[in-house]
Amino acid sequence: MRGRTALGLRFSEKRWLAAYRRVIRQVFRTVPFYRERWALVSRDPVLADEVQRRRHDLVPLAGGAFAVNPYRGLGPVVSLTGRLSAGALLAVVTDLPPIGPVPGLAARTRLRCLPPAGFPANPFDRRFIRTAELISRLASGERVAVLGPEIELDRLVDVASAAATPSLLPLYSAREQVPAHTQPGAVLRDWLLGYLGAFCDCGRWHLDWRRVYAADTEHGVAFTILPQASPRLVDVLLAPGLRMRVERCAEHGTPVLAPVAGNT
Amino acid sequence: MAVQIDVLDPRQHSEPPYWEALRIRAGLRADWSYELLRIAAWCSPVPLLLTVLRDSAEAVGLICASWTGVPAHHGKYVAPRGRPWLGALYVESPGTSAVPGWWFAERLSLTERTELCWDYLHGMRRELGPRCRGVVWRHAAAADLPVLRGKRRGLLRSTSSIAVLPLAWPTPEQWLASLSRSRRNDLRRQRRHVDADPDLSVCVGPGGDLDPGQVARLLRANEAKYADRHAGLPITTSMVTALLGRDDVVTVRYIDHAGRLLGFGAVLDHPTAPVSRHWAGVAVEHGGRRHLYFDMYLRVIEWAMQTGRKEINFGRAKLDIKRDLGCELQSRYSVAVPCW
Repeated sequence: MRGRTALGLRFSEKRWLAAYRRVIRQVFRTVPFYRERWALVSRDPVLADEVQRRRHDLVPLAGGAFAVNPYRGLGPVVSLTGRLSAGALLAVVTDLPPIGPVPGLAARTRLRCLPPAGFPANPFDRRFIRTAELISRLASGERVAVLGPEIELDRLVDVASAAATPSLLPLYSAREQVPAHTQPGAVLRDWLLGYLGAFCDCGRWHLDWRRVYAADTEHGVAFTILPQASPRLVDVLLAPGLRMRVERCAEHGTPVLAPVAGNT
Repeated sequence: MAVQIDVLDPRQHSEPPYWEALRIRAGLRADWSYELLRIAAWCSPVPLLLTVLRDSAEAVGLICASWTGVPAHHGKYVAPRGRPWLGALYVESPGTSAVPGWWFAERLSLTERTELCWDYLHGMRRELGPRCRGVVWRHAAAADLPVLRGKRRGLLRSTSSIAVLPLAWPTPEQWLASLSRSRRNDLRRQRRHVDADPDLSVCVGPGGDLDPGQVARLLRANEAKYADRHAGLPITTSMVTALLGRDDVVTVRYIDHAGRLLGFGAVLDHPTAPVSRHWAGVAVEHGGRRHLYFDMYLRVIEWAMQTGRKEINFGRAKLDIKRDLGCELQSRYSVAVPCW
């Protein structure tokens, strides 16, 4: 399936599958966990908890990072939402600031961490921004987008004035209930796999298909992170019983995640 | 003797029904169990081939070889159907370099063994084709050389010796008394130091209750320290899982009260000559303890004396230390026999 989409991305099912197969061949030759599992145990997708337990085996033989980058995929997924213009301030509700630059963000985007309620920010750490400073920037007309769990966004909206509300990007965990419908701009993330996709204006959960491959299996949707060199995350089932399926967006032609009956 | 050759690739061939009985008859250790061979074959950078040499129905020889050659794929596992364009068979034991990778039936004479080596060379050449240009017999004892070199003589190279401790003493105390005074005093002081540590428990026995992931991480960290000398691929968690699940693998473990594994040693057991195979310890600067390495030797020797073993093979590294502990250093050789 091919099609020029309103998202400005050109998707080919064949190329997507080929990229996934390349990853499969690579990891079978170079990553201990997949070598052992696929050769000796089973080719079935693997549960995220098992992957987490065997993190030391996900590093390729040639070496690489052991830790998962919690900001993996943030830039492209936020771009998918279309809510972040160049030069805007993106505040992510988290107590874990990025170690290095976060790739894929729009030009001149400034990234700051907004500590969640009850977590005091280090006033000397320039990676953090405090709520009061955020509100004053909004009041001064600065373009601001805030990404975080709905409860934190609600709290922020309560204290911000009606005239100066930021763009809100609600964050959903892919291991928990994924609503079939939510407000456009919502983002889907998993703490192990990183940012996976966003809820776009067409009313569907779009996958960041350049970086994430997803396929329906008899055990559920299995995710593969395509470009990540280490740790390699391939055919990961996020949670048993999580009912989603991979479809094509009727409007854009790109892969979307459709929660099936049982998820609201 | 009309010899028949069966070549097994553990990745593709299931375990033959006679394998376990043959392994026990040949006195081969846990690393020759088919389960471990299968894991080793899948997690190896080159194809691993087992050859059973049979005289009518009776197995008279067993050989394990890595088919190594060019192109070399460093840092990668062997491709599912991968084989070198040009290479040789490196005959070595699958799990340790302390013992050779072949067995011949005791009843065979020297001439028959020489013929068997010849049959293997030509049988494998027939099986693998002209890509196979010879056989390298590794870690051979001096007594094996006439058998292995055969008619073509082959190229001979001396390799690192191995340290074997003959257990000629009835008690560990008598063994300690045979050592130099400084070494003896050091070992006793180190044992007292380990025993007096209130936050450390030491256990010698089967390792089925250990976390294989924790053991694999520790062993890999140890391998990484010798990365310049250790050219192989890291030990895999499934290999550790399989080793720990066996009754004929004895472990020595040092665990603190928080459950952290601070030192781990493994011995491949044998009725007379076990092989001390693995050792890894957490560095002192990362929360480890001093003296565990030497304490491990004491524990293994005590265990071997208590269970009536005749000798312990401590392998090839740190030979000066092992000589101080009373080990005999036995010369080993590699013999390359070309095949045109």
